[in-house]
Amino acid sequence: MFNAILISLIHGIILGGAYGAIALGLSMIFGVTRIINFAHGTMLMMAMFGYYGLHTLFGMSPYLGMIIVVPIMYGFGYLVQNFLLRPLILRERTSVVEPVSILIITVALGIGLQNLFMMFFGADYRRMDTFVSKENWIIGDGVLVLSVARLIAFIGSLVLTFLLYLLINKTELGLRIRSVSQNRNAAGLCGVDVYKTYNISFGIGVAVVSIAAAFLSQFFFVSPIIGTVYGTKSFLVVVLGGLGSIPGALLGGLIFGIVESVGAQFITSSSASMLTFLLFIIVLMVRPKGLLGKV
Amino acid sequence: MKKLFTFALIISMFLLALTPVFAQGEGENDENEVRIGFVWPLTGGSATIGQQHDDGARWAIEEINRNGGIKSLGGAKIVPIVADSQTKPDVGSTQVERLILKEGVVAISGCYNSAVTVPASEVAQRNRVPFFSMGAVANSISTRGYEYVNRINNMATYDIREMFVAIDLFESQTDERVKTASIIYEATDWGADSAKVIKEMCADKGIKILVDEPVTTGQTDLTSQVLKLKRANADVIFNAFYTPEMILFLEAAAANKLSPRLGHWTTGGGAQDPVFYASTDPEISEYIFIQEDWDVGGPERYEWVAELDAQVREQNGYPLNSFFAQGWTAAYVIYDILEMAGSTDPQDILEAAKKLDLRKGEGREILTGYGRIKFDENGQNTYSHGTIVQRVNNQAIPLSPTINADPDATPVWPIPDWDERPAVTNK
Repeated sequence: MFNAILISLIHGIILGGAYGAIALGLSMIFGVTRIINFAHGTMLMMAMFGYYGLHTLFGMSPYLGMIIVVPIMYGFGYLVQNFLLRPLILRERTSVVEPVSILIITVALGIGLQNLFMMFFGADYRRMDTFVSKENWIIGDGVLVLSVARLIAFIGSLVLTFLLYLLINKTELGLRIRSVSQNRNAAGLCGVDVYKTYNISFGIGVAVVSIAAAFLSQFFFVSPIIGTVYGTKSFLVVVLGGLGSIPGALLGGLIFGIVESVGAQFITSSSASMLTFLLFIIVLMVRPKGLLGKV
Repeated sequence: MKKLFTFALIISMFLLALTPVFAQGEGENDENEVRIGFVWPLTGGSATIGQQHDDGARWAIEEINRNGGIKSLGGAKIVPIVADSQTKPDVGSTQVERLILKEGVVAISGCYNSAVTVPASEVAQRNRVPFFSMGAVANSISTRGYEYVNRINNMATYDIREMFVAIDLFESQTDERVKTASIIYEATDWGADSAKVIKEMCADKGIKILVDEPVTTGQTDLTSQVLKLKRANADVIFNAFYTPEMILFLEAAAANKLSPRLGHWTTGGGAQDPVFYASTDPEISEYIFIQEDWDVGGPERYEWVAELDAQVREQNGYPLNSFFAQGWTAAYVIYDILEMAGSTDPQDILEAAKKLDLRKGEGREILTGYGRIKFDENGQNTYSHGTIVQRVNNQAIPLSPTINADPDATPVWPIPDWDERPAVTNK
């Protein structure tokens, strides 16, 4: 039994890393703009389709495809913020909290884009056969089998978290982002272009989720419905870890992954899912801003 | 100017909202057409399956209309009105209501997912519109005493019974005995019903259940569940998954070398979906036993089926399978009933349905594996059955029942360990 717990713990950590990587962008966007991007899962899906297209047409590995997809997704996020969300923010700039209309716009965007992809590409589940997608690292004559793609996703999530942390805390751009997230009016008075910073932050958030998509596309199927599956989990992970907290998103993901994986060894997986929600509720009751939240 | 802009925007949005109304027509049956409703999961977790059902129904209707339509109704053409359940019970129910109240359909078929069909058929019953269930196996669909609901396909009890008949057959041919089993299944009506019947039949046979694992849909990883099953080490593993979870489960099973000695047995679902095989390596599904609703040997026995298979492969890019066959058969069954009824009155349709007696090989109606379609007093087609196939070298080999089996085939039983398996050469 101890072996089973240890093995499932390792699997849970690796699984949680993937959750964390996907949730990072969402946390970033909220931390700065106070917008909960309900189209986050859909943007993950779009990036995955981008990698799938590059792999199918040019044989390009998603890791290499990041050179193309990530800047495009950054641009997409920048434009969404600038042309779709900014007018609403400007109109409601005197309100204390972000307007509900922005939440609804992101919901509509998510559903609209998902259906657009469904219309053009259909509902088929697509897989990429890359040099890591089917490789496993086998330890101890099959006692522990780790998917190489998932392992890379886990390591990637740690690196991504660290790089994002450095960007936010050690660069001038990060200083501007932090100033706007703390008090946009005061930041504006100090000469920071608030709305441009919003655009950049949203773009970075979408770029981050597109990096996570590169990892995910190696071991998960590509389909228009993927956004719904991972989007919902991302919200839970981000709220658990703390809205706006970069390390919190990773921590939330790890906790979710571990509880799901280890819990499933002792109770049914349906009950293990219930456990994650129960944990979620308890944490929020004790600490409403999440584990590492600063909101 | 601002007020004018706002007014123009409101009017534009109003007109945009109205366009579906104009696009869909009057919602009444013209003299020369009969509107039949179909509710399939065209999006959501069962989307690939639902789309194949839709394809099958449309192909059948095109053929029926090409051949003169419903002759007893003056050559009326069938107009399919298709709705998307999104693989959600509430949406499926709402769509059935819309088809009845707004589209004026005279009969409905669908919805494949048991979780959708159970409430959706209730809506049809309440509105007194004949509902011909296709695809869903939850027992309750034909045991509630709903006079307006008939089921063309098999129920969960039949599916599971076929698997145990096959197990009994293999046990009689070998010295192997199934003593322990684990069950893993999607936690909605289909999976839960299947699991319930499996547990009852295991109890009857003295088979001990080691793991009983319901899995909610929308999973991202099933490695933990596979590890639990591996630890239990049951002789057989029964599973009931739609396509996404089937992919996750069998891939995790392959990666972790989970291979129950007497096999994986699945009640169909994702394992019947051509998209599953197109998306995965054949090694992961090698040697699994599947309760197929499709007559695997059909193209070899019937020329028209072989021709249809070739046409579907060319135009749709996939071979004939359970889901296309179910859509096709559902459309033909409703057509035959309307032809017999000579009327679109619900009571006339129900009376004609009671008299329906189709036999395989006598026409083009039955593309599925059933030998006959005839509804009993509960509205259940008691002649519906599938075929137990085993995937060997990336091919489905029919093994049971005898009527559908390949006479030269024997099952690979017990299942070789992963390291002892020959390579799959048919890719």
